[in-house]
Amino acid sequence: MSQEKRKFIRWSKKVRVICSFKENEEPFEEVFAEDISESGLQIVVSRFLEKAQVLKLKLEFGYDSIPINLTARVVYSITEGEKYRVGLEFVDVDEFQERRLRQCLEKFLKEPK
Amino acid sequence: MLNLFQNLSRKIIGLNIGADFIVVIKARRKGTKIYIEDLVFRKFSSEIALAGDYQSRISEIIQEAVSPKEIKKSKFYVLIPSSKFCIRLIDMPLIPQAEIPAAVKAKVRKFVAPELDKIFYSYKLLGEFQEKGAKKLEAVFVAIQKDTLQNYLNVFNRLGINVALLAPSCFGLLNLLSTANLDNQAESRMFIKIESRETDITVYQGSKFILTRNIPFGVKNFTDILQQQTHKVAQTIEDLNLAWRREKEISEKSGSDQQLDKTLQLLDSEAKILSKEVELTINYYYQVSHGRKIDRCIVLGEGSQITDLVEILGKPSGVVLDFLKIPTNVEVNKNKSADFSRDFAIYATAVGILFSKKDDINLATELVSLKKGQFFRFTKLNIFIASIATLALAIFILLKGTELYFKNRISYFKSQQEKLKDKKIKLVDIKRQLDKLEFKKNLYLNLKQNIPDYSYVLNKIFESIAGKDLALTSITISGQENKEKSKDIFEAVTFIIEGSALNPERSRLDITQTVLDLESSGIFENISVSTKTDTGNLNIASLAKQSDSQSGVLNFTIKGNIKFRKLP
Repeated sequence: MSQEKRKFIRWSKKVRVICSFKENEEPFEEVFAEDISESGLQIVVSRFLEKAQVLKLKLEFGYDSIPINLTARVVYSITEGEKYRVGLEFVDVDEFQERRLRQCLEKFLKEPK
Repeated sequence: MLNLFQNLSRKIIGLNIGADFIVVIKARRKGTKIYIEDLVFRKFSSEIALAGDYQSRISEIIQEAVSPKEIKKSKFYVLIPSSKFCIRLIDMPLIPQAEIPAAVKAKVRKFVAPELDKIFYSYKLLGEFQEKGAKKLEAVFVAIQKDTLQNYLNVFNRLGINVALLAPSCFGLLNLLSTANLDNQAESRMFIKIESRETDITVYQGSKFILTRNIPFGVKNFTDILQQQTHKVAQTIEDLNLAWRREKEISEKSGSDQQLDKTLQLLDSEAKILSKEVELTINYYYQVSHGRKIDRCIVLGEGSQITDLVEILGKPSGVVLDFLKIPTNVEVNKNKSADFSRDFAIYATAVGILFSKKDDINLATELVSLKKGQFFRFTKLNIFIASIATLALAIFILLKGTELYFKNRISYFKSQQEKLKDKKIKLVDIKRQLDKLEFKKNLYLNLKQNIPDYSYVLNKIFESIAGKDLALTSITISGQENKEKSKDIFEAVTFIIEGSALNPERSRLDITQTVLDLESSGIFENISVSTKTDTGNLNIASLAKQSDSQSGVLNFTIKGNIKFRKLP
C-alpha cells in the first residue's frame, strides 16, 4: 500500500448523503453512499423512489464540515429486501460544485478500497 | 529567564506534522507562559509525501531536529493534519452526565461511519446553550481511522517519542486563541492555513471551535501554473511573488501580451477559487450561527506570504484580513527571535498546542491502547473470531490428546505383550533347563546309590554321546556290592542307555559311533545295541549296514557291563 493512498483519510469513502425532496426541507433519509462518481451515486434507502424523481442532496465528506449541495435525478430503484437500492444522476451542477466534487472524489479514488 | 525556566520545568516539544512539512518547537512551560528555546521548520518535497516515504522522511527530520537525549527527556505535544480527522460540532438535549458518552457515540456513528471499531474518537463538552427555548448541550468530537493513527504511532515508537498529547492541527490554533490575550475574545475568526498542497479553513467563535475544512488546493497550484506557462520554476515563495509581480508589471507596461495575460489570468483564477471557498465558508457560518459574521480572517502558512493571493482573498469576502500576532505570553530565545517573528504564521500552530490543558481533546491515550492492542482489538467481530478459534483449538487439543492417550495405551500394551512373550520364552527355557537338571539329578542320585564312581562312568557315557544327534531318555546302572571281598568291589555292574536318534539322515551312524566310543573308553564291555524302527529290531552288525536314508524314528537301547574297579 503506497503512501500516496495513505495520504488521505479513509472515510472519504464514507460519503454521507442527506436526501430531501426540496431545498431547506426536512431530510427523509441520511445514509452513506454505496458508490460515487462525478456523474452520480448509489444509495440504499428505506422508501421507494420513482424513476426520474428529483432530489436535493447534501454530500458530506469527513474532512470538510461544509456539504456539497447538489440536485439529482433517480435513474433506477431496485427492491433489496425491505430496502431500495437507488441510482442517482447529478443534474444542473455548476462549475464550483463540479470542482468541489471532483476534488473530493480525487481524494476518494486515491483511497484504498 | 532561560535559567529560571530550565530550572523549573521539563522540556516540552511541539510537533506539527503536515502533509509535506514539519515544525518543531522546543520550549519550557511555566504557568501560562511559554519560553521557546529552539524552533525548526523543515519542508520536504510533496512528491516524497506521495511517493511512499512519508513515514521515513518524518522520522529523519525529527531525528535531525531533536537529539536522542532530548527525545528521551521531553514530552511531545503532537499535531497531525486536520484532514486526517472528521471534526464536528454537535449538540444534544440537556441529558444527565452518565448518558452523554452514549449520545456522543450515536452522533459519531451518524457522522463518521456505522463501524465504530475501525476508528478512535474523543470529545469535549463545550457547555450549555438555548435553542428555541430548550436547553441543549454542545460538544466537539474528533474521529480518526485506527490505521491512520497507527502510521504515526509507528514513527513515534521507532524514535522512542513520549507523546503526551495528540490532536488535529486546528486545535493548535484553538489553544493559542484560548490562551492568547486577544483584544476581543467573543469575535468570530476564520483561519486560512495555506500549505503546499492543502488549505485548511477553520472557524472559531471566540475560543470555541465551529468548523474546519480541508481543501486540496495550495501554493503548488500557483507554482505549477508559472512553470507550465513561463517555464520558470518558483523554488520559494519569494520566487513566486517576484514572478507574479513581474508578470503583472510587464503586462501593464507592454499592454497586450497574450501569453502574459493568460498566465496572470490563470494565477488570478486559481486565487479566486480559494476566494470562493472562503466566501462559501463565510456564508455557511452565517447560516449555522443564525446570522453571525466572520469578524476577522487570518491567513497562515506558506500561502500567507503570497501577496497577490492574499490581496485577491480579501477582496470579495469583505472581511478584515489580518495576520496573527505573537501572544504576549510567548517568549523566544534571542537567537531565534527574528526567525520566529518573521515566520510566526508557520510556527503559530505548533506553539498553540504547547498551551493545551488537561481536559483538551487528546488522542494520545488512544495511542496507548492502540500500542497495547495492536495485535488484538476487542471488537465484536474479533471476539467472535477469537471464540471460534479458541473452540476449534480446544476441540483439536482434545482430539489430539485422546488420540495421543490411546496411542500411548496401545504402545504400552504392546510393550507389555512383548515382555510377557519374552518371559514366556524364558520360562519355557528355564523349564527345559530344570527338566535337564532334574534328569541329571535323578541320574546322579541313581548312580550315587549304585556305584561310588558314578561321576566318572557318567562322564564317559556323555563323552561317547557328545557330538551326536542323540537324545537320551534314561541311563540305568545297576550292580551288587561284593560284600565278602571288599566293600568297594562290585560284581555284575550293568548299564542300559535308552534314547532316540534325532537326525534320521545319520541316526544309525550316530548310534554305531556311540557304541564304538563306549567300547574305546575302556570301562564298558559286552556292549550290545538294539534299535526299534518300523522295520523291526536291528543288532549292531546289521545296524552299520543299514542305509541312512531309511526313514522313521529310531529308538535305541545300548546295554553292557561296566568293568568296575576303584579308580585312582
